[in-house]
Amino acid sequence: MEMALMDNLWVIIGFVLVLLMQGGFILLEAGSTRMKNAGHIAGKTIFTVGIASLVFWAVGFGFIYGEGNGFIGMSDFFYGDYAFDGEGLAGSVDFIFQLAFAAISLTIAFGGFAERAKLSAYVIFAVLFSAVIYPVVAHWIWGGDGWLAGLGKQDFAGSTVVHLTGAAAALAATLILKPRIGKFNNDGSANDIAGHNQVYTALGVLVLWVGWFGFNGASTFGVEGAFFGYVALTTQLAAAAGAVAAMLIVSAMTGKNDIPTMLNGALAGLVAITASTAFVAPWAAVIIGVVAGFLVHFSMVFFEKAKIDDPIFALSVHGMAGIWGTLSTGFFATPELAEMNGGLAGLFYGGGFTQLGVQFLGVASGGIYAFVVSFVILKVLDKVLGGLRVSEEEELVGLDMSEHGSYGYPENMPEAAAAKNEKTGA
Amino acid sequence: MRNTSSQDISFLENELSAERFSECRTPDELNELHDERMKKIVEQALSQVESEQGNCPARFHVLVMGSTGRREQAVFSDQDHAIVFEGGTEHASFFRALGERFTDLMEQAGYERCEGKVMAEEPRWNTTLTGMHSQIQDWLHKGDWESIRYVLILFDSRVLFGQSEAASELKETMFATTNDLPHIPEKIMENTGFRKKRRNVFGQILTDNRGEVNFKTSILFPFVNAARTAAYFEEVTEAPTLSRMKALEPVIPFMKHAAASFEEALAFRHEKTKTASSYDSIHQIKINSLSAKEKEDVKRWMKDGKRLIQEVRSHYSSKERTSSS
Repeated sequence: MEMALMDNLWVIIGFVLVLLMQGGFILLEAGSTRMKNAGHIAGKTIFTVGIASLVFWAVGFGFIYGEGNGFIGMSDFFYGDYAFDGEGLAGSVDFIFQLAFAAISLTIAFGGFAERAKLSAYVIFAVLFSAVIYPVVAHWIWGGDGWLAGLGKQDFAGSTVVHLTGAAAALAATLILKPRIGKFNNDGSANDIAGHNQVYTALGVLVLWVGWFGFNGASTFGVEGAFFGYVALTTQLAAAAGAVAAMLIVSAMTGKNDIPTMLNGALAGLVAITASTAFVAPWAAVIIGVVAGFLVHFSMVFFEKAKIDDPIFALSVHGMAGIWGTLSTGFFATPELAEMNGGLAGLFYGGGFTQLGVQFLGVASGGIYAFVVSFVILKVLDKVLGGLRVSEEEELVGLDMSEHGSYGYPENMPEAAAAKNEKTGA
Repeated sequence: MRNTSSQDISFLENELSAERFSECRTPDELNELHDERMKKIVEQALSQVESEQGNCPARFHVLVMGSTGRREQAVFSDQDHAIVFEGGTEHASFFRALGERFTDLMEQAGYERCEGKVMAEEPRWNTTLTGMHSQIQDWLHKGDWESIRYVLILFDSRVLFGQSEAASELKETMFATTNDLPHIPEKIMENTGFRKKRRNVFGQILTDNRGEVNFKTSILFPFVNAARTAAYFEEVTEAPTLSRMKALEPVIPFMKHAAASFEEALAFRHEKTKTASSYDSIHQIKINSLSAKEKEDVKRWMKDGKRLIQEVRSHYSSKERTSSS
C-alpha cells in the first residue's frame, strides 16, 4: 500500500513537472519569435492547454485507454473515477499524467502556426487535435489493445506519440499557412527572422530540460527499483550530448557558434532519448544525443532550403529527432532492458531487424496518420474560416494587437507608444 | 537646419558623368575618374561658397579617406573626407559652409553619405591644420577604441585637393605621438581585430542567407587591415594598400605574395561590379554564380588574407616581446 502511494505521488510529481514544461514552451516560443507576437504566443499556450484539458477529459482519454479495438478506445469518456484499490496507479493519477502529455503534443503542433495563424484556427484545431489526432496515435502505441503496442513498439515516454505526432501536425500547418512575410526572397533565398530574446529561449530550454525528468522519469509509473534514476541518467546524457554536438556541427559548418542551434540540439537530444531512455545503455544515450544534435542542424538547413518556414524549429527538434529517437531503440535496445520494459533487443545487440522494423512501422504510421488528418482538418478549416492566416496588415502589426488588442511589450511598440501619447496629450 | 535641396551637378556631364564608370578597364582607371569627378566637385563647391561669402580666406586641403583614400573605390562608393585649413578658427564658418556644400554635391553626384559621419560637414573632420594635429594627439592619448579608430581612418587619408604634404605631416604626428605611448601599438592591432570566419572547417565559403558574400569585408578587408597595421608600425605614409604592401615587402616576406592576391581580387571585383546599379549591391557577390575557377580564387584570396593577418600579428607581437624583454 505504501509503495503504491509512493508510486502515485511520484506520477503526480511527474504531472506537475510536465505541466510546467508549458512554461518552458512559453519562454522558448516567445523568445524565438518577434516582440510583436510575444503576448500572443504566451497567452495562446495557456489558453490551448485549457482547451486540450477539457477535450482530453471529455473524449481524449477514452479514445486512448478505453475498451475498444486496435485502432481506438471507446469507453471512459468524461473521466471521473476516484476509486483506488491500494495497488498500482489510481485512475485519476494516470488520467492527469496522460492529460499533460496530450497538452504538450498540442503545443508542439502549434509551433507550425507561429506568428501568422488566426486565434480561431488555434481554437478549432486544438479541439480536433486533442480529440481525433493525438488520442488515435497514443492508442495505437500506448493503449492496451493498440495494434502497434501488440507488435511490441517501444516508445517509453513518447518520441513518436507526443513529439512526432505534434511535429507532423506542425508540418501540415506550416505547409498550408505558407511562410511568414519576409522569410523568403524572390530568388528563393531565406532571411533570418531572429527571435527577440535569446535569454528567454535559453531559459525555456532549461525549464523543458528540468520538466523532462517528469516526462521520462515519471513514465516509469512507479518508484519500485528506483528505475527512474536510470531514466534520468540516460535523459541527462542525451540532452548534454545533443547540446554539445549541435554546437560543434554548426560551428564547423557555418563558422558561427550559433546559440539557437545549440539550444535546439539540447532539445533534440531530449526528444530522441524520450523513446529509448529505458531501453539503452548510457554510452548509447550519448550516441543518440550526438546524432540528434547533428541531425537538428542539418534538418534546420534542409527545411530552409525547401522553403518551409518553421519559426520555432518544431519540425527539426520534435519531428526529425522524434523519428531518430524512435528508431534508435531498434539499434541500441539492450536485451535486459527490453525484457524489463517491453519489445526486443536492438540490431546492435543481436536482435536482428525485427524491433527496428516495428519502430519504423510506428514512425511511418503515426507520422503519416497525424500529418494526413491534420492536413485535411486544416484544409477544411482554411475554407470554413476564410483562411487560417491573419491578413497581411495584421501580420505586420503583430498578433498581439490583431488577435488580442494589446501588446505583450506595449512600451516597445511605436504604435502603442504613439497612441498613449495621444491620449495623454504628450 | 541647413538647406539640403537638390544641387545642380550639370558640371559633371560628358567626360565626368557616372555613365563613364563602366568604360574603365582597370581599378586604377576607375579611381582616376573618381578623383577627377571629386576634384571638380570641390572646385564647384568652392566657387558656390565664394559667390556667397567672398573669397576663400585661407589655404585648405581636402583629404579623402576610406576606400577613396586607398584608391580602392568600386563603381559606387560612399563619402569619407575631411577639410583642414591653414590659419585660425576665424575661418571656420567659411570652411564649414564649404564642407556642407561639398558633402551635398557629392551626394547629388551619387556618393552615399557616410553612416559613420566621416565627412567634411562634421566639426571633427573640418578644422584647422593645427587643430587636426592636436586632435590626433588627443585621440592617441585617450586611447579608447573609438579614438584609435579615428586615427586609423585618418591614416588612410591622402590629399585630393591642396598640398599632398598635409596628409604626410598629419601621419608624422601620429608616429611621433605613438612612439611616446608604448601601449598604443597593441591597441592599433586590436582595433581591427574582429575576425569574421570566412570558410568552414571543410574549406567551404561561408555565405549569408542569400548565398552571397560581402566581397569588401570578407575578401578585401583582411589585406587592407593587415597592410594598414604594418604600414603604421613601419611609418609608411602612403595610403593605397598596394603601395603599402610594396613598401612592406622587405619587412614581411609574405607581403609580396599577398599583394599579388590583393591585386587580383581588386581586378576581379572591378570586373564583377563595373556595371552594378546601386551602392547597396556593389559589395555582394553570389557564390553560386561563380565558376569553379572563380570559387577557387575566392577561397585562395580568403586564405591569403587570413595568413597575412597572422603574419603581421606574429611579426609585431614577437617584435614587441623582443623590445620589452
